Amino acid sequence: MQNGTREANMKNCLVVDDSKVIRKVARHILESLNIRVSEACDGRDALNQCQNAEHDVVLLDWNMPVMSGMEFLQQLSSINVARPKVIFCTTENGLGHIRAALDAGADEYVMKPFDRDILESKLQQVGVI
Amino acid sequence: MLEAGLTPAMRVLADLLESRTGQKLSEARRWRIETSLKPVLKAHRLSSLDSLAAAIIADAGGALAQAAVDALLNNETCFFRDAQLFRMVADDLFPALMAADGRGRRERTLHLWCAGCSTGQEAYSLAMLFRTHQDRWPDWRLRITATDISAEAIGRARQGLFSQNEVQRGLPINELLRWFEPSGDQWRIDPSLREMIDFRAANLFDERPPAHPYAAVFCRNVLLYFSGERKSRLLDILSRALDSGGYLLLGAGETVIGQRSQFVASHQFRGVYERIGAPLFDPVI
Amino acid sequence: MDELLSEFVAETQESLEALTNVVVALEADPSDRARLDQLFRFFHTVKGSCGFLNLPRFERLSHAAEDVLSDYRTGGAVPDPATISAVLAVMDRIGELCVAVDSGDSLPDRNDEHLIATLRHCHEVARATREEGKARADMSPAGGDAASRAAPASRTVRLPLVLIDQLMNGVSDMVLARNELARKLRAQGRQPETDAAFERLSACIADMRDTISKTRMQRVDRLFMAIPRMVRDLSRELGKTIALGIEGGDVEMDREMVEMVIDPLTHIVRNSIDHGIETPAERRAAGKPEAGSLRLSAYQSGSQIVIEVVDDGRGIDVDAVVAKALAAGAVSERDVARLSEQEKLDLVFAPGITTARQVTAVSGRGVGMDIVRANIERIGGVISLTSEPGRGLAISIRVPLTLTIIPGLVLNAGGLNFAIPRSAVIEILHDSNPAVSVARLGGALTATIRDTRYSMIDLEEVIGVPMAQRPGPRSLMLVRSASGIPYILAVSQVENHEELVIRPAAPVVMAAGIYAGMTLPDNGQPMLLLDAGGIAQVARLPLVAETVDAGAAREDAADRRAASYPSLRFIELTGEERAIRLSLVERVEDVPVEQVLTSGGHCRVRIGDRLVPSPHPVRADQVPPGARVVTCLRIRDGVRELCYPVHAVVDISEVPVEMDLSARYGIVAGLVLIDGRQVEVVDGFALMAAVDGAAAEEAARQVRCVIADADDMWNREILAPLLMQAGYDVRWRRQDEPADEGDVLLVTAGEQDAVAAPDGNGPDGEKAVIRLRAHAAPAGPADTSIYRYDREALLGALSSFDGERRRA
Repeated sequence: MQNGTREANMKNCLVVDDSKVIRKVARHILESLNIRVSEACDGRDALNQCQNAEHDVVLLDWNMPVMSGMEFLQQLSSINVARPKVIFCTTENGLGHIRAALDAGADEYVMKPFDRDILESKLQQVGVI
Repeated sequence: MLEAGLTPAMRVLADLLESRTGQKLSEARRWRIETSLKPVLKAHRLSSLDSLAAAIIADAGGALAQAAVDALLNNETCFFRDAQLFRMVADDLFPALMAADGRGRRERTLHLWCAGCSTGQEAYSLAMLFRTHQDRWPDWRLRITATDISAEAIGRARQGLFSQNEVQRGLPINELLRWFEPSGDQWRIDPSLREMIDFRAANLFDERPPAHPYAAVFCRNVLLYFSGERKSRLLDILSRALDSGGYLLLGAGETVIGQRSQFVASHQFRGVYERIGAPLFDPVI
Repeated sequence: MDELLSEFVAETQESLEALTNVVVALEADPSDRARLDQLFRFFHTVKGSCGFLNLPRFERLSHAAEDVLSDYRTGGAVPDPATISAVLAVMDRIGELCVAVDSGDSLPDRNDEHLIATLRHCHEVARATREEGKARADMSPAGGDAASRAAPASRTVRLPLVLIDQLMNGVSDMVLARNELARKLRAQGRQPETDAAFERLSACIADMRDTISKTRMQRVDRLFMAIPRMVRDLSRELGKTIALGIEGGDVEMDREMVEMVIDPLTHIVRNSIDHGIETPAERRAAGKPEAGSLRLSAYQSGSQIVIEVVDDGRGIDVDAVVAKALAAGAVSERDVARLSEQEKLDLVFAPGITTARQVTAVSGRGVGMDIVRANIERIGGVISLTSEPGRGLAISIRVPLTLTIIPGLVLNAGGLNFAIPRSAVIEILHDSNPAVSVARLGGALTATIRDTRYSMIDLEEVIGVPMAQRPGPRSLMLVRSASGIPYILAVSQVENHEELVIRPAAPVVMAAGIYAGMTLPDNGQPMLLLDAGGIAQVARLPLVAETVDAGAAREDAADRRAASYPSLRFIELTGEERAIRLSLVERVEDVPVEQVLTSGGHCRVRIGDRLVPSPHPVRADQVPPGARVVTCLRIRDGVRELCYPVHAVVDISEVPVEMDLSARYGIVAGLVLIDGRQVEVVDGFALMAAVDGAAAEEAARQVRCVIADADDMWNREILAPLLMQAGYDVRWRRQDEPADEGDVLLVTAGEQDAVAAPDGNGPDGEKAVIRLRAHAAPAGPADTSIYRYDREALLGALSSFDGERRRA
């Protein structure tokens, strides 16, 4: 039972990135932070997953095939579910990109490459941990 | 990197850290222990953590061990380290210090000391915090003295240039946008913040009583390096630098308990120590 | 860390593969924004991942390419071919680095900076040119909407093929278990509820089998992946213009199949560009459009995938092919006269034939279409050509959809069922068919079908079962062999035609060399799948397909009949009368029967102190009861020697060089008629070759093993046979007999005399001593004895003495 409770209290993070390597790194870090991870390989995939399950936070790449992170973010608000926190996580490291992401509703912004401290810090910023 | 368990070399380093500082090698630190120690490896021409561990064992108590400990600790610096503390500082401590009857109040200037400031993140965080809430104290100024024994660290702190990794540790993205400009691969902090801080390379034990007694001293994760007599001496020095009723802020695991008690735990602020009694010296004007 | 790195390499290589097309497409239509985005994303992703892996070279390269591409993305300008080439070069370098990282080699040390500088330079030049152009005239904006977006990537996982194979095997086992359960249920009578549940289970298993088969499927895309890039590079190199069309990439086939087809297909495309499609000038002169057309397509046809490569080049000049085939000795003038046009065209598949008029760097010497065909046929495929000289060539490859489900024939031999891939069988006839005549030549069978004589073998003989007595004709299957020459496999009956699920058979079964796996037909009874090529090899079937042209043969023979040589005629132990060239026979002598030894599959005859290899053993039933000796032919070719036991020597006769019937079978070269009797002619070459070379060498050993204690049971029962089997001459030591130079003394450690010999010399002065001990662990560090069951160490020690002897 105790286990069940802990499971239930675990936060969910959707990692959206077309790179398996990056998804893998993120998963490893997030799981070490006791966060449950699901993965999506593009914005469309992520959107579908957001429709089917609630996530506390989305770690979002910018450039992806099929649907970019920005398009995902714009369409996310149209989905009738509790909106997860969105942390952009990308190599687009210019001020312009960061501003555009925040304008579009991103809660935080991670410039790749990231490490455990950075992710932990950003998750704290958005109140997930 | 993805290995969760401790290798024998990591075990050695963890034991070293614990014996020197009383700190456990946190999971977070364990995760990037190799990154933290890379400069040490390079400086001592060592190829791996294993060879470092071997060299430390061979040279018990030597400079290499200290360098390793420093590296492990140094990498801990981040902006707004301990977010809760900074919230408390902005919401409660600053107002309390401003309300206190003392020299600061007359000059409408808060004098703070960051003792052991490393590359400046803590001092800059305080400056950002102060400026962010400037509307709460429109006519107050903040002056920070920030010292560290490492001239190199102070040099970097003065430059106000931080790497992409550094600005992502502890710093909310909005603060980054507000206070930093990209500069090549790095980020340069707003010069107006730098002007609020006086960075100095100095040994804590040589510290002479300041011109202005400080309203608060931030001396986090420094005491843990010292024990016994030296720790007492350091507390003396800190207490002399503080205004009467001033506050001492220590690292999470640190305490003054068991030491000569110029300090008592504050009733008002958790984890903060209040200097008791009259100033031990007359301020020199 | 390593895991992450290999993940990165795999991911990057996968993307690279997928991207080559994109680059080529982008070059064809540089305004294609969707593709530009794809390319950009690749470098972006590589760059992003590098940060975690500390790969500075990858990072620099991808960063530079990303920079340049991002300029095109945001600027709306259209990249020029030079820039695209430079981007390609960067991609190639990244690919090389991947390979190096993957193999753990040091990364190829070449100047990345040069590539990056080239890329930037191309980009700068292009930009300058653009701006100049803009100043002169306002260009119409490029583009419009981006072309269709890339198909959405489905979510995938990477699995080792082994795992899928295991799954497949698991399902097969499940089917077997189901069948067993079915039998048990039947035995218990009808139980409607249980039966219904069982039916459901069966249906589930069947579905699962289908699904798992599908996991092995892969889009043919992968097959075509490398083609555009290759066409682009080759056509540039050769100064040709080629419009490439690819269709049907979404057809799926077994991934192993894809792997097998990649090489042949690449080869065909290469040939087409190199030899098929003409230069623009030639094409102009021929009244064709300057750009050649090359079209690749794939589609499914029944349980086969058809892959077609069609070009509009010069086609194949059949006369040139024939000339080459004649020159290469692949066919004779006589053969050619009878060939149809299509058959002549198919001569391009003969070994050593190429239609390349000149040797080019691209195709080299037109490395054979024979190899291409062999590769296709190995996987049960068929390749065919349609050539229209001057107008083009169409090559069609048909391969089964999957290696694991194949159309097969179920056949019966000796009361057992077997399966054979349908693709291996060319024709099936009954031996009662008037067009068929079967003849036995000595040990060998031949079957003549419509004037072509093929080697033939009974399946029962191959697998070593008696032929079942059953009424009706036997079935003769004309099957393909690995060498391309078909032969006849005779079985008692071909039963039916089924789709067969193939799984590997037990290794011990596979080791026989005649099976390709086992199958699980719908009745659930496992059967072995025959490997037609393997059977021909294992049976050492002489593969000939001779055209029987009686009239011509007679004329030719008349001329050569004059030539003859003296031969020794003899009767084999098995009763056939044979002849062998007299010059090979050194002498004939009687050898005591017990001196003909068989061990370890090798047969040897002890002559004096030596063991001489023999081509076959002497079975007890082959000599008259009570016979003490057997007649042997001592044969020597100058180097090797062998001892050939026979039943009796008949005579010396002249044997014509031109045999009456040439039919290779084992050591027999053919048949001659001497005094009205059929005599098989032994081929001296084949005879020598048939005797295992290693065995012959072993027989040449000079080392003799002398075992110290003849009374010891272990020495007698275990050691001596082991040594003899390994080809050593074994003696028992007698105290009164002085040791020879070449002797190795074997003693049991602990025996006084052996231990007392510290210098390695035996007590009687033998140079070489091997001490054997009874316990696995040595008695101490100085113990140099060998554990007596350590076969390798023992034989190793002996062979080192061998070596010494030979050097001495």
